Amino acid sequence: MASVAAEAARVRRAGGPRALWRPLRGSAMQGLALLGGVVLWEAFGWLLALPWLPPFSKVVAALGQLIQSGEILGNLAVSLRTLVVGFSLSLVVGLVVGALMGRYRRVEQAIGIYVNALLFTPSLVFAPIFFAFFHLSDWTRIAVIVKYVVFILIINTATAIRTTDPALVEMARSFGATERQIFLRILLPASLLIAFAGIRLGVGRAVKGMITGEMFIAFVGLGGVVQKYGSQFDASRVLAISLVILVVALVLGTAVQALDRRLTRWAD
Amino acid sequence: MKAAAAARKSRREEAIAAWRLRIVVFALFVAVWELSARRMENLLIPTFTEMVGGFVRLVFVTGRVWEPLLISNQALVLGYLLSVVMGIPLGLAAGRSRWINRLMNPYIGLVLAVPVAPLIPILITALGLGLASRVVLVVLFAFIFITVNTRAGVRNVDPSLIEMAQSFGANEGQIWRKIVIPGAVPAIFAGLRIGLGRAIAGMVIVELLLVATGVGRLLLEFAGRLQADLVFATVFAIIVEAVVLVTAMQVVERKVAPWAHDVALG
Repeated sequence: MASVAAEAARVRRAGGPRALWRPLRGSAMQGLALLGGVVLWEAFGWLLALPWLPPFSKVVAALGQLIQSGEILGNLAVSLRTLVVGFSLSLVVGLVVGALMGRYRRVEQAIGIYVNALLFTPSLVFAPIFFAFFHLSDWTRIAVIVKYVVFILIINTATAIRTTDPALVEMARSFGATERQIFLRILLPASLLIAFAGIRLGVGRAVKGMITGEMFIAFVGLGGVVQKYGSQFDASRVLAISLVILVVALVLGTAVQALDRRLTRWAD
Repeated sequence: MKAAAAARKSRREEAIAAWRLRIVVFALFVAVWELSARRMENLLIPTFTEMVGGFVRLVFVTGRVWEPLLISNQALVLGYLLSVVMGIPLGLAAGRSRWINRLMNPYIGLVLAVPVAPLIPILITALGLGLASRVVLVVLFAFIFITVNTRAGVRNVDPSLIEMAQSFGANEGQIWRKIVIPGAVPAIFAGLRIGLGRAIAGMVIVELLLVATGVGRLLLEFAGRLQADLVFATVFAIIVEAVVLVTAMQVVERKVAPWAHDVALG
């Protein structure tokens, strides 16, 4: 029975031309779906001539202008700097606190309530509070990013550690592994698989926190530029900058995914 | 019998220990806040007691928080209901049909990745400064998480169950009612919970960034007048609302689908 299934799976993997075509057809259709959306956008943009729906080509033209004037690249660098600091900080705090919460019931009992409450609380309302502590420095925006990211990382890491097969831990212990070894050699690698799901979510949240923080607190970076054109109700430029932000988010997300594949290759 | 009683007793002791720990941690947090705020003497940072005083005034004495909360929550309720009505069917369709999923998948990725906040001015050009803009914004924040989780739930339904039902002559409607939807319910509830959190975020963000009304406006007013105790108290009130709503959702979840707890956030 099992060998028949394995054989079937092997044939499927090795696959004839049909198997090769299948994933291609999937991505071809997704590409067509996107292209269709762009065509519809362009058509409705011209047909309806609404002030809030400029045709796609106008948005692209606006994007070209913004890049040429240097408004995009300079501000992108400013934004990314706070993003890197904020995300790294969240990563360290999120993985450590999450691991402790997942491993030790006492830690979970002590701070679980706060983590869960803050996970579901809107982050931007904390901006005035961060402002009280850090004023107009970069740290206010970094704190907003951390508030956006850190709690989802903590929760995901804690879940990851908690759902690690207890039999593995038992076995390691019976072979004389110390608590430290169990933590570093078993729990951490095993939880990496699930924790990465959180990290991927976290990167997306970090980009949103970065933009929203810049829009609300200090009018710098990409968020500052988009806020500027937003207050002039310049839809083409707002959409052009949104495209840039989208690309940033997608590139970072893909990078995390690639890292995920590299680090968790042993799991296949 | 004896073993069961002993287990019950140790569980009770465990629960008491957990609560003792929680109270100690809370007391420690309050003490650190109170003392450090007093030492800093920063105009923008109230002590814990000042914050509590502000909260009591806002909620019970002057009641200033209620009307803004009511205004904000109109957008939340309408937007969240719309998100549920949109999000679940989209997720079900994408989960069950490969063709629909292929059409939707790139857009789901886009909507998940794009920050909504910059689009608020466009929304306002289209719909004006009224309730409609705020409702649509809440939908833009929330529905995608409901859709994605619903899709994941449908996909996780064991296909052999569906095959078996088909081979016993079940029609598509029966398969939906008896297998697909019950199997997807845990993930759907996880999505509803995450979506609720995002909806609350959307409700506040639009008020803070562009449409000055509701609790967002209240917060900005207090911040502008440097009334730090009231700023912190308003933030606390928003936290309380979020926690109450999400907890209520969890209670409903346990009632409606008791088998559906402990789904990891997706």
